[in-house]
Amino acid sequence: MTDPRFRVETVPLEARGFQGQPAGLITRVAANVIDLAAVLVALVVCYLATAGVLFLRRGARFSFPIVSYPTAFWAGLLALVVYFAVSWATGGRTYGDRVLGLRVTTAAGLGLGGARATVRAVLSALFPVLLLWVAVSRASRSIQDLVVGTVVIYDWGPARRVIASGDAIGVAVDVASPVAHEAEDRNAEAVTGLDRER
Amino acid sequence: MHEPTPIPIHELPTDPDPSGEAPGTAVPPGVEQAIDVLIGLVTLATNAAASILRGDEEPGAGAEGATLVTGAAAGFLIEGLRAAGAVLTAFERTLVAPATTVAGAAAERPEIRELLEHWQASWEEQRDQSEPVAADTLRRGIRRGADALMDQLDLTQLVIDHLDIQRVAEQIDIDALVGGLDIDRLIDRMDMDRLASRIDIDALVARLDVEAVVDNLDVAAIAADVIDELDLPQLIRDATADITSDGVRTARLRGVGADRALRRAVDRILARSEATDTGERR
Repeated sequence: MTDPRFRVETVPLEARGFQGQPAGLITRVAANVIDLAAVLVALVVCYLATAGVLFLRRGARFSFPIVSYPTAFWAGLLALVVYFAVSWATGGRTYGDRVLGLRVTTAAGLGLGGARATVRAVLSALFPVLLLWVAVSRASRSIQDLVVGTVVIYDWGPARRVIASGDAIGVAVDVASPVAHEAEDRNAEAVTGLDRER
Repeated sequence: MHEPTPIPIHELPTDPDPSGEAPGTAVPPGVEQAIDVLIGLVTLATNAAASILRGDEEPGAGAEGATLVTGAAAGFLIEGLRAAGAVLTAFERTLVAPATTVAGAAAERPEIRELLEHWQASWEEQRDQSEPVAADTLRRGIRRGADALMDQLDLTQLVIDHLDIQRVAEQIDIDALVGGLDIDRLIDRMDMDRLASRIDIDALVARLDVEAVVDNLDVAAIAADVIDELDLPQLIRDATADITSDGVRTARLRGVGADRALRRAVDRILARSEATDTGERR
């Protein structure tokens, strides 16, 4: 890794204060909208590509393929799940997360494993409404987060360190997550409590 | 006990020549020395006269004759001096030797000795005053003579003509000379600021061949080292992997602001206290 002396802080000064804090509902919804749009664009591109191949094969007899709504829905759902799972398992962020400076990590601040990422992807794709719990949750966590034990934080920095974790692909954010801080604080309190007892 | 101790004065003139020469022809040392000096002087004068007559480098027929004449004259003079030496020796033997013998004998007599000592004492007294005066006079005379001589001589030209500076320089032990120098003291006495102000740095720099210096440096190797140390590729990846355009930054900041606003609104609706405001959670 790069010598710490030569590390360049890419996060703007005004954004450094809230790095690692749990992200709110608005940014997460915005990120999901972008992700949805991206998947839709991808689906359209796939449809047009298929049409192009058909046009080359059929020539004059070519007509646009007709896709039923259920087929389109399940295809879109599958695409979304795969996209979410792969994105969170590899980098902890989808394209939408990246645009809005978000990252999905475990409660301990580590990267998600493939299994956890897949479960979270299925839940997010099937029940996007559960995301609204973020607004109510004190820790800004959605139902999906609570189920799989994840947290979404502000993380504008690109650098991440791969560290050893229980998951298959352990990607930890460079900026320490608040949850990790809380865990440390709790430990510290326990120790000071012990000290007081003595 | 019977033999009286010989008086030193007695010995000098009467002592026969140790070489075993006949006493009649032997010349006493004092006279001989005087004659030798005279002969030497005459020879020198002759040579000088001959060289003056001959001219410096080109001997002529007439000059040869002149040399012969002066040489002959010198020879005649030397012969005369030798003869005179013999006469002088005879004179010394007959007159001076008995006189000194008598003087020595007389010195043995107490009253005469007393008188001599009195005279010597008065001489010693006078000596202290006279000697410096005499020495001073002599010194002044010599100086005047030397000045006169120097006026006639172009000493500088003489030195240039005759001094082999190279040989003199070879004799100088430069190391010993430098070792004797106290460089620190010399530097203490130097006004470095004044010295520095007189140095034309621009001219100095203009004379520097920077390109030659750079040519000698392995710039590529240095640059490679620096890049290795920096891990420049990683640095560039870090800096460009993020989407950091102004538009994205503004959108992100607005998103964060909206998140907080929503958080405050929800907290107000749910009547959460400010202390547990999660919008500002760490």
